[in-house]
Amino acid sequence: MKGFDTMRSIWFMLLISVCLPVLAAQKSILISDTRDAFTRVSALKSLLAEVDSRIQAIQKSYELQVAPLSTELEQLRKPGQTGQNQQRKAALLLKIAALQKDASVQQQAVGAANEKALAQIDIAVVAIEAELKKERAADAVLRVQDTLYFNAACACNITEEIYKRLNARLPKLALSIK
Amino acid sequence: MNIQRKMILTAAFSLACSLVSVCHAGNLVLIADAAKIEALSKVVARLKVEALAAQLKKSNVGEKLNSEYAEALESSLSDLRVALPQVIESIAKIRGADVVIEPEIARKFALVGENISAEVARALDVRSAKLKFLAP
Repeated sequence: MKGFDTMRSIWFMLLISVCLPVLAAQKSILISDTRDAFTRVSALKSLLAEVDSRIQAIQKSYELQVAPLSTELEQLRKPGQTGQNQQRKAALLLKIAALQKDASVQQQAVGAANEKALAQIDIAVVAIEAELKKERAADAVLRVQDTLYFNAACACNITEEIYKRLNARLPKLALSIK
Repeated sequence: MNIQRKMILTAAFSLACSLVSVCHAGNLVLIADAAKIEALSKVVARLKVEALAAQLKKSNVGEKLNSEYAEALESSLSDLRVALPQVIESIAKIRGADVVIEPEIARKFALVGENISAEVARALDVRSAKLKFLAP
């Protein structure tokens, strides 16, 4: 009888040890919070600086080219000049419009190149997330926008590791404008 | 050492291992459904009734909120919506959860966790008990 009880206890313990992890299956997750990427990722910082300087250069060049044309136009609009230089006025207006269009096209090209560079960073982040998921045998990688709350102090927070790897792999990113 | 004793030790060891694996593996995930929280909240229900009553008093139409009163209701509920993330956070911290997600995300990533919507609704009601409908 005593032997039967012992065997029953053994079977019970084995059963529990098999069932417990299955019943209490908590999946392993990783969370990335890259909301402050613009201040933490060196490639993004350099990219932002380049975009900013290029946009400013386009604006400055446009202003420099348009300024003398505007002055001339103002002169032509003064009383006494009416009717004499209509053709010149029309030509100036056309030139200013062409310069405006040119500046706008250049700004659009910078914007498109910026989007392309940002996509490159996003691809790199996704690749790092996949790596970390594999390394840590996690079931899922959640982004902060997928959560209503997450414990930033949790070991599952992979943000710092993402920044570290991203800055090592992609320290700088230049705009490629066609 | 007889076979029985060896078996007891083996079983005890595997039980200990499984306990350790349960404690260490995985993250505590909780699920909160914003729509369900609002549906369960007594304060939200009361404000809806107050809005309908106010509309009925003014225009004799009380079956459905018109846009003016619906907007006023939304504005009256804004404090409650602001408090919602704070309530979720405090419950998550008390429970020691790593993450709280919407059911949709849980389904997307095949994650399981306790649904705390009812608990959040209760806590929200306590916190927003004094909230009143602000008529337009």
